[in-house]
Amino acid sequence: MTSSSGTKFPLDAKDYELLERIGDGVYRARCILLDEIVAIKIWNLEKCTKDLETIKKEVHRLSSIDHPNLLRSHCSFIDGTSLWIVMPYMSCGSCLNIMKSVYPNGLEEPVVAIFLREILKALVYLHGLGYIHGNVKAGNILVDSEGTVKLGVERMPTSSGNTFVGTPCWIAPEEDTQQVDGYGFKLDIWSFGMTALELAHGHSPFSKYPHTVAPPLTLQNSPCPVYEEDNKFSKSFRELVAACLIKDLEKRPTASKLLEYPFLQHTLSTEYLASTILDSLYPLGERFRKLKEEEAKLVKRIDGNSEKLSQVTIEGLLTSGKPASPVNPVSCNAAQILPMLQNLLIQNDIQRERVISLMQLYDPTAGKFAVLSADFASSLCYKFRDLILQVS
Amino acid sequence: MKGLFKSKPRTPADLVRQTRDLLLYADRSTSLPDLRESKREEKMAELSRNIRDMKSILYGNSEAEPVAEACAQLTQEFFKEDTLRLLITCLPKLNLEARKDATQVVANLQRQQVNSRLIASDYLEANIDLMDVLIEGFENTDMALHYGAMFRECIRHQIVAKYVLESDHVKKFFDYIQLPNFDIAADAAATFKELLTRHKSTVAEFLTKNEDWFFADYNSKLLESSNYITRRQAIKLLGDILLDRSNSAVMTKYVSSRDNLRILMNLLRESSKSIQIEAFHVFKLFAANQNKPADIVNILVANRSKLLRLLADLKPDKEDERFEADKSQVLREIAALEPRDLA
Repeated sequence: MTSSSGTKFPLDAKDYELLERIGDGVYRARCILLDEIVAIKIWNLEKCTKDLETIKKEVHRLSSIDHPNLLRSHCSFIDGTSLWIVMPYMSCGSCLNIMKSVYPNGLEEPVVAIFLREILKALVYLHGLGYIHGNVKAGNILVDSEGTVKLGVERMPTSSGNTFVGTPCWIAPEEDTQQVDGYGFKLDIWSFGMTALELAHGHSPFSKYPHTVAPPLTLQNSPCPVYEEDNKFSKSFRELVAACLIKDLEKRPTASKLLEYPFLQHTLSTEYLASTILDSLYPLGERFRKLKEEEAKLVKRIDGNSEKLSQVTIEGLLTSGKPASPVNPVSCNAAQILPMLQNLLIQNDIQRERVISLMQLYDPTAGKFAVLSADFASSLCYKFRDLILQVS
Repeated sequence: MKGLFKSKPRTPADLVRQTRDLLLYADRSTSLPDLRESKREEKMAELSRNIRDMKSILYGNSEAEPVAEACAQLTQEFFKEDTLRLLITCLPKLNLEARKDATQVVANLQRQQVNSRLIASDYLEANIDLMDVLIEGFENTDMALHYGAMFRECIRHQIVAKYVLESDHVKKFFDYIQLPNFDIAADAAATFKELLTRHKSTVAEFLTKNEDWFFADYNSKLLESSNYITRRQAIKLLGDILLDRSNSAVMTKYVSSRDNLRILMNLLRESSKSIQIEAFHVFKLFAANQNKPADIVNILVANRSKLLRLLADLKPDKEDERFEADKSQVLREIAALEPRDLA
């Protein structure tokens, strides 16, 4: 397959040298023949046994798109039982990685605006082709050292087999309620609004709230879930986000309409990215290793505690998590949750982000979750039921 | 002049006629070297826009659903003359987006009915050599996915599938599905599967007539391929073919061959679980056959203890009652076998 520039990339693993890991199943590599640095995703097809057809569709999509703001694959081939997908190397990594490593409290508005504008251009293109992206989030926004912003389009089918994507808080409420006919692309607009909040806050919008409670909450509180702290953002930013989160699909704007919103009118060029936030970044491989280490520490810390914790069955926790009935906090404490969290972390890669964000709320000195109110505890139960259903 | 055209709305038939003229132009333009480049580009851009407009009529767009009457008019005009052939031959001259649009247009047209007839099928019957052009596309990396998708849509028509199966083209798929480029190989595999599963009576007829070479090639080129993904897809497809009721005669013959059994037993021992599980679905047919030839019985008996152990350990990742039921039946069959004298 040719890349957009017409270069032919070799279709043999021997022609690439893997240099370092830069993500889960993603490597920085050198194409020996062309002496070019690339990123290679390696998916073990034995491990995602369920759906070869879905994988084929994803790969097809990756090579058939052609837009400067979308990450297109150079080529893909089979090596042993793995599928290798060769892509342009985006040296600065994802927005999520950048925020976690350097900007935990979010990016400044001019920077957010640049990202949003670039992503919208990609969505306009995709929607024009009739594609729904389905996974717009900070973790999928990639940047190279020149400030080029590209949206990653692949949705890796997970080892748990289904095509569940992202975290529920990025997913528009109508995805639950099946009103998507003819409005599929409006789902992406919802996710886009959530991503805007994510970039501005430095974390996912509802990470302080339980994901499974979030969509109904936003449905009731139309037009938009707003935090107290959101008042620190500019009016034009809040206006953009609110429009994306309008629950009425007819009224939720299209990607091309959003490009005309005031917040995106005087956006700086992508070079601004290069000269501001990207300059100060340390190398991607190093950032990935560091984040992994922190993750490992978290697991270890909880591991140390878990010996003292009583074993609770999953069923016990499930039965206590009925919707709308307040749960007795005693039946759902940190002691019960931690071993399960840990388990989930080991079993299931795709849930990692969600689980970790939960784990970060754990206060090891107090031996409990930082915000373990009765409400929160009951919502944890939902979340687990949700997680467990997906895992099993 | 342009203003005149704009003044009254263009009908779907007008659109097709204009597109055809532009395609004729595109087809000729490369052989007219003294043509002005800017003029050529302008025409090509217009052609791309027209193809996109046809797509909007057939698929609808963000503002409107497709209208049946307009689709029928477009389809009728399209197949009235040789537009499809022109579009196929000019495809390499279009840019990527226009190629994709054209592919979608062609795909959609195969399903459009005019006066409750699939006129695309009639057209292709009269122009069946187009399939020869399309299949060549698999060998051109830049065009393979577009031509491949068109090809797959065309074999929705039984008469076209029959043509392909009876031609030498079907043999080419044994190589195409192993092309190093995953994208193209996967596309070819999807088409191969469609060819061998969609039109039951045609497939049964083809397999009955060609079973000797077909399964010999299937075994040696696909099931014994060194390529993991080829083996995995081939064993799955083999199961789909043999388990189809309309192929029961072919199946009975397949499970009476010791060569086939040997290959299946090897696949059962693969380190890949997905391949093992799919292999089981074919292997069970050998065991369940109530008229096993003596040499099949003897192979199963000779390998009995190994087979019983291997099957006992074989479990899908997800619990599967059907699988377990099949498995225990196979285990019983094998355990009860008595060695036989070879006739």
